[in-house]
Amino acid sequence: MAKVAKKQQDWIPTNYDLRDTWFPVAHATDVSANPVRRMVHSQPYYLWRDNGTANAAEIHPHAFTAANKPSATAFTGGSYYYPVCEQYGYIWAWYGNPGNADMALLPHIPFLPKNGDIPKYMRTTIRFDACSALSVENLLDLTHADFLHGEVIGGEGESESDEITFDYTSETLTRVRMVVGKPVAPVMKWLGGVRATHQEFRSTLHVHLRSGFCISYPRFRPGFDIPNVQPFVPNGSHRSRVDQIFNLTDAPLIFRRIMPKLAYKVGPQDNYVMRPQNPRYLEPSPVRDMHSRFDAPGNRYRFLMQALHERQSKGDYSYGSDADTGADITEILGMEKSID
Amino acid sequence: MKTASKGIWQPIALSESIGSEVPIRVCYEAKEVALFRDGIGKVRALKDRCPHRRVPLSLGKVIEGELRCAYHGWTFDGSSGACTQIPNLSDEEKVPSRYKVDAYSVHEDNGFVFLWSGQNPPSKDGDKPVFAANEDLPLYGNVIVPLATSAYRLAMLDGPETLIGIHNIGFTDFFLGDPVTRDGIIQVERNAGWIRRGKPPSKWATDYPFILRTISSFEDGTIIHQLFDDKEQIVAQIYMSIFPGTRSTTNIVWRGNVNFNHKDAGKISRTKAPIDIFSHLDGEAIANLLVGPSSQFQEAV
Ligand code: FES
Repeated sequence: MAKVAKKQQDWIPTNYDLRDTWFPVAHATDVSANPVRRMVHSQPYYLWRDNGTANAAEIHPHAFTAANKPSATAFTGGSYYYPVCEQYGYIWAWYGNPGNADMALLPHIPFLPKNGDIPKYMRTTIRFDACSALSVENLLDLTHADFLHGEVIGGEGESESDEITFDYTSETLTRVRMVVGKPVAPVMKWLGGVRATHQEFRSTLHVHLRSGFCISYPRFRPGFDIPNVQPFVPNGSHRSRVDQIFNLTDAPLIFRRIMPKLAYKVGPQDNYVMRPQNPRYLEPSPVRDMHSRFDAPGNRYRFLMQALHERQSKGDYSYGSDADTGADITEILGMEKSID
Repeated sequence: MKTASKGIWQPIALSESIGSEVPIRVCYEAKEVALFRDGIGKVRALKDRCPHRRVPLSLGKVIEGELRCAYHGWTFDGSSGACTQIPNLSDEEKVPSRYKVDAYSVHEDNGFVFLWSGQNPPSKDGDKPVFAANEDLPLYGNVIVPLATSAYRLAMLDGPETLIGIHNIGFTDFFLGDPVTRDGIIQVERNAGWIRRGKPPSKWATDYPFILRTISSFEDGTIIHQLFDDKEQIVAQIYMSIFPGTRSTTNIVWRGNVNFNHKDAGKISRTKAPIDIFSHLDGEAIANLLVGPSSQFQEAV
C-alpha cells in the first residue's frame, strides 16, 4: 500500500505499488505440477500446472480444501485465481483488478520467440537487494559501470563520441546510447572473439514503468547483439527478483555460454551499493538527492513513476492514450525485424 | 572531553584503524561517519551518505587523498566536504559549489581519533582533547557490544568482571568506601587479586594485592581503569571511550598498557590478550549484578 497519499515531496521508490499490469512471475520452465511461490509487491502468487496449463492463485492449491481457508482478495476478484498466461518463456500473472486484465497489454519482445523456445542456459535468476524501482534506476544509469563493474565488463575508456537520448510515454521510458569509437571491452575481446580495437555501440533500454519490465538491446559493431530482458519484479519494499532471459543465438558459442553467467557476478556488484542504499529511501528525506546531467533518464523515470503513482492513488488505473504497452518495438530497439 | 565551546570531543576510533586507501565507518548515535586519511595523512570525517544517491561513502575508496564514492565516482574533499569531481564531465563543466557533504571536525592524539559533537565548531587551538595524553598505550582494540550505553556504564561500576578482563586478575565486589564524585567524574575502587587455578580471589584474604580504580566520566562516556598494587604502583591501565551505536548497541574504543616491568606482572600473559574488552557478554551475569556504586552515579547524573 502507498505510505503517503498526498503529493510526494521526495522520491520514495519503495512506495510505488502500481497496479493493473502483467508481471512475468516465473520462467515458464520453473513451473511444474509442484506449486512454487512468488511475490508481486505484497501479494503471494502460487504457480503450478494442471495437465500443462499454468495456474496462478493467491493461496496454495492444498489450501483450497482447508477448513480455515483465508478469504480471497480483490486482486483475484474473490476467485483466488489471478488472470494468467504464458508467452516468451514466462508465466505472466495480472496484478490489479482482474476485470481489467487484457493480453493486449503484454509487452512486445521482438527478439524472443512467443512460444518460449529458449535454451535453459540463457535464463538466469538474480535477486536484487533493493526494491524494483531502485534496481531499474540502476539499470538506466550508465555511469556506474566504470566504478562497480570495471573488472568484469572492463572500464569504459575514452570514446570518440558518446550520446545519450531518451524518449517516453506515460507508461514507458526508452533510453538510447550511441557510442562511436568505443575501445573494445575485455569480455568482447576474450569471449566474443572481436579482433578490432574499437567498436560502435548502440544500446537501447525500454522500460515498462508499472511492472519494472526492462527490455535491453545492446548492439556491437563489429561484433554482435546481446538482447535480453530483465523484469524487476517487486518483492515488497526491500527486494526485487529478476528472471532474466537472453537471446544470444547471434553470439559465438563460448560467449553464449558464459555471458548469462556473468549476471551472477554483476548482480552482487550492484547489490554492494543498492543494499545499503535501499533503507535510505524508505522514508522521505529532508535532504534532496543531487544530480548530474548523466542522471537525466533516471530523473525522468522518477518523474514518470511519481506521475503514475499519483494518478493511481486518485483511483485512475487506466492507460493513457499516448501509451500502447503492447506495441511493436522492433524499430525502437533498432532491430531489423522481429523474430516471430 | 568537554571544552569551552560547548561540545564534546568524543574518541570514536583508533589511529591504527584509519588508512589512506579505504575509509572506515563509525556510527556515533544518529551520526554515520566515514573516516579516512587525506593526502598528507590527516584524518578526515565526512557524513557517510553520498549526496548523489545516498550510498554510504565508507564503501568507496580514497583516491589522491579524496574520498570517491563506490557507485558513480563522485569525489569529495575531506576538509570541506566539497564535491571536487563528477566523472565524465567535460573540462568546461564545473561541479556546482553547493554540491557537498557534511564534513565533521576531527582531531587525532595519542592513538585516538576524536570527533567534535558540538553544534558549533570547536574554538581554534584551545579546544583540544586531553584524554590519555602522554601515556604509552600499545594495547588497543574496538568492539561493539549488544548492550545499551547507559546500561554498560552502570554495569561497569557494579561488576566490571562482566565486561572486561585483565589476564589472571580477578576483580572483587568489595568496594573500598563509597564512590567519589568530582569534576564530572565518578571514581570507584575495589579490591582485586590473582585468579588461581581458574578460581577468583578468595573471599577470606586478609589483604588483596591490588586495587582497581575506575573513573567514569558523566560527560563523554570515557572510562579509565587503573590497576595498582599496595605501593600505589600502576600495574595496568585501560582508557575506554564508550558511545552509543545503532540499535541500542554500544561502541567501545580502547587503549591500554600493562607494566611488564612490575615484579608481579609476569603472571599476566603478554601473548594471550593481557587486556580483554569482551565483545560477547554474559546476559545472565549482567542481569544478576546487584546495584552498588552505580546508584551514586545515577544520583550524580
Ligand atoms: S551515489 Fe555516490 S556517486 Fe552516485
